[in-house]
Amino acid sequence: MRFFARRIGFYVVALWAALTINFLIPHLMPGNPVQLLISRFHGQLAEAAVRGLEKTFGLHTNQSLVAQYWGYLEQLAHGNLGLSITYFPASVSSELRASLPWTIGMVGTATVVSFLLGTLAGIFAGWRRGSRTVDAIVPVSTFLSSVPYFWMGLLALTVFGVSLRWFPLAGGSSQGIPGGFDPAFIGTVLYHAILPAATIVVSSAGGWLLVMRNMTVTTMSEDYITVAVAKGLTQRRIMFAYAARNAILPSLSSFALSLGFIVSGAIVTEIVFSYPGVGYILFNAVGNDDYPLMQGIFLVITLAVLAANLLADVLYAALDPRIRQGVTS
Amino acid sequence: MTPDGLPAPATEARPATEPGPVLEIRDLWVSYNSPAGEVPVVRGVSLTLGRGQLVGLAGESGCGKSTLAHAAARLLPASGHVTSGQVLYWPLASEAVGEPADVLQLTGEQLRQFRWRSLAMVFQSAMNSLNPVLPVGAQITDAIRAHDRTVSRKACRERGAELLDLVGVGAGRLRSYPHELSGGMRQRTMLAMALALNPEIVIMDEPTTALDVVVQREILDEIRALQRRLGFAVLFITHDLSLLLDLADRVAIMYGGLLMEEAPVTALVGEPAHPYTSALLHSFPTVDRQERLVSIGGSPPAASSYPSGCPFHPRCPRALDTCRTKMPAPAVRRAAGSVCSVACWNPMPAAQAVGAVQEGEPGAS
Amino acid sequence: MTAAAAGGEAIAGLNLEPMQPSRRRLARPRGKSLAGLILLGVFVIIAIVGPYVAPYDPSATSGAILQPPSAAHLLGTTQTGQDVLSQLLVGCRVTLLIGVVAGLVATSLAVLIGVTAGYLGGIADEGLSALSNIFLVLPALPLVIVLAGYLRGAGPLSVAVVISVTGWAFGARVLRAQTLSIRERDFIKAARIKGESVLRIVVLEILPNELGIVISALLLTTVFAILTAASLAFLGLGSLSSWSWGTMLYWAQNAEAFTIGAWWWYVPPGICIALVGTALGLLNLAIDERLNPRLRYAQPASRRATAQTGPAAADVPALTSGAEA
Repeated sequence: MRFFARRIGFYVVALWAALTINFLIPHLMPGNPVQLLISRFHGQLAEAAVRGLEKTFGLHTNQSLVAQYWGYLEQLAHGNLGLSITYFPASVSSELRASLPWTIGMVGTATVVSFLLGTLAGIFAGWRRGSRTVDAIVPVSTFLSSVPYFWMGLLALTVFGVSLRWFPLAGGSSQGIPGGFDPAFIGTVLYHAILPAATIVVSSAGGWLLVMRNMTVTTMSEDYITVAVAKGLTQRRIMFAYAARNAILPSLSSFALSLGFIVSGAIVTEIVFSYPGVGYILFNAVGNDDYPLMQGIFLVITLAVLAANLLADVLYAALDPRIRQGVTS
Repeated sequence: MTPDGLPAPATEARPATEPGPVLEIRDLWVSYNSPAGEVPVVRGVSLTLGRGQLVGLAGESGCGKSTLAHAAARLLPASGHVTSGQVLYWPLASEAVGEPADVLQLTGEQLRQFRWRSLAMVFQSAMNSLNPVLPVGAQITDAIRAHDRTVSRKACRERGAELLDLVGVGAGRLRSYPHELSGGMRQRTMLAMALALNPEIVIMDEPTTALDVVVQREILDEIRALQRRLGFAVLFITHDLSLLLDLADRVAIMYGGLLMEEAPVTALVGEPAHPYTSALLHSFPTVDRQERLVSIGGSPPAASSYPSGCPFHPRCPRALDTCRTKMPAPAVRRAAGSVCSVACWNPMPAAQAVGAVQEGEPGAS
Repeated sequence: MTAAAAGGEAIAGLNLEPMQPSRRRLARPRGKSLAGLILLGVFVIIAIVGPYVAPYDPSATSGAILQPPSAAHLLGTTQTGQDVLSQLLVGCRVTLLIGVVAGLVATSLAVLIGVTAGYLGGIADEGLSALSNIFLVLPALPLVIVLAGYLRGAGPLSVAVVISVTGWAFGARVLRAQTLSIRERDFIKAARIKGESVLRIVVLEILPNELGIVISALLLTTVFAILTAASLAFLGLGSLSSWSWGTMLYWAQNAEAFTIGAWWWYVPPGICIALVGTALGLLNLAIDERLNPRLRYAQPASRRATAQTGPAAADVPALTSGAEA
């Protein structure tokens, strides 16, 4: 229990840090974003809109920084992330609500699949070490994980979308099919998700593979594996209950940590495939100097990553009794 | 066959008072791969374990005793392999028929069934020998169900509880994780696990080295008591010869990959035939002797650079010219009414045995 | 995170077993490290001499639009008639530079913060660890994007700095864990009793034993930096004024090179990025193997099968023959 208390405490602090960074960025950067926006709209913004923007940024020039900070936090507590400039007058939160499901669906699934695939392959690669074909998987994985996500995506798009015309070139679903939980819609969603998801899987599975393989090899030289063999246990039992269960622990903790990296790759993939997720609107936001939207997205992504970290911690504790009981060493 | 072309010694039939063999290692050679090539670590060792006996195997670090045990138990790591020799196992059931199985030739399912049921092992560091993420009860259950899947989990738990009680850990610890137990308790748990299937042979590789002296004593007594009660044979490996004096029926001494001497414990202590054995016996204090401790000058050789001929010759006070060039072959002799062996070109004369009471027939030289 | 520390950290490629004090063996390069070194060497050479050997000025436009590879333009031309090969050769320098600078800065930060936290312990440790954990958990690219968005038009060095800010926490955590365990070793205690100053101990005793991890962190961070910089450039956020492989891809995407099939434009930069990443990755694996002996040799399957005269092959896992069920 103490373990969880500490972890949750940490995440609360991290969240607070993210919020504060989010607040400070426009204040630390050169230029006044509100002025920028006003000039962009050639002074056509209504008074209310300008006030709204100032509030979003907490940029009341006649208030102290601390007061602005409190105002900002207050806004957040009400779920008010401000108004988006690109999609004006839509609010940031509404834009996020529209795009988040797409990202969670495609990227989330792809990430989990990639982790499972890579980890299982890694166990196998570590277990069957010594054969030339199996060992060749290591440089291959190294190469694959060095390929930039977006390049892989573009290549896939070109080959499978343009040349072979197997898959669509953009979007999350076909134009003509309305949303809803019917097979037609689900079908087209899946159809559009395959290529971007596959790109994510191919690019990131290699990383998991390498971690798991290394850990499996290291774990296999532990004494308890020798004992397991001596006991006459089946290969399957040894591999899963003794080797993998121990080897996966660092994988889990590094899964959580590399989530940030995964998110980055996912963003770029969405952009490449014009997939209507959070990454895609982030890109548009950047192109339009839409600071409220950009920062709203950053906040939401951070929240998601923190939540995923917490989840990974829970899983880790479930698997390793030493952690549950707060034992060090 | 020794490298000099001499025939390996035939094992003499034991006298009727001695138990029949349950495990016989015959002329075993084991090598490891290293960047420098193949390195022989065990060089033609023959050793017999009688049914229900406790045989101690002593030697300094690097002499190959652990490797010998691992090879016999088919637990060599990836870089090690047996180059020649046999490891014969006489299951109780076949004693009447007299047909041993060669452990080294077992494959697949045969080997898996042989493991733990016939031969179990207790390792040195129990902290690393127990799976940190499984409760100890589950690890015992594993062993049982691996050999007979029809045993119910409940029955496994009961057996586990029984075993833990047997070794003094207590059935309440079935659900404990390894890190929740003290060092001594972990070692006892390893013992309990080893006895789960009533094996005929238990090999113990330095089981008490990592423990403090008091706990060590307790565990040794425990082992002895269990052995008498359940009747399994034990091969007890240690670098501390003093432990074996009270514990073992017979003692074997290894050095530089060779078996230097093997004899009943009283004969070994009373009239050591090998200069190395004699030196070892003088290197630790005992209650009944008051004398200067003499350490053996020099240090044991690494396997990659064993000296030519007899590996002990650089440190041996009785070294002859032959010792530098020819590996000694084990020669059979009798002492304390039993068959012993010594591998030495210049063994100790019986008259020079120090201190202890002369027992049995004087050793032939 | 106590979790990871207790379970033992094994992040891909980062080895955690310090060498024995003062035992440094010169390794003969074999297999992986040789391949990695050669590959890296090629690109380093290109980075140095690229601008001098490039056949054309990479920014020079011409009338030969979107030409596939030919004798005049070995890698073809872009939509404005620029020579792809020249862009590739010249762009190598900036790409590698950003990677190396970001890698060095991030790793230096990691060493500074990680080792300090590990050695000092107590409150300093708690504070610094919290700091690195926070940076670790915050997603890098979104933060970088936001920062870079504000810093539009900044040069490649600014990009490198921004990337370092997000990339140091990883190595810091590993170094902290390692320092914590080395600190308790006898030779450090001996040094402290001798009265050696903290700086001396850290620099002369601790760091040499962590060299493997530091180098590993440097390699991995450099890969991370190159990929992130490329992504940023691709998104139009890097410094578009200087040529880099990421910039090439940005322009290629802009001109819809992917849809019109101008493969000579976008394939080379992507492959080059992947190759540099692979080279660094291979070096990292090689170092890992060197320092973690358990990763070294298993007996190759072919030898196992044929080497046995009589007794069956070795028995412990990963070696197939023997116990199967």
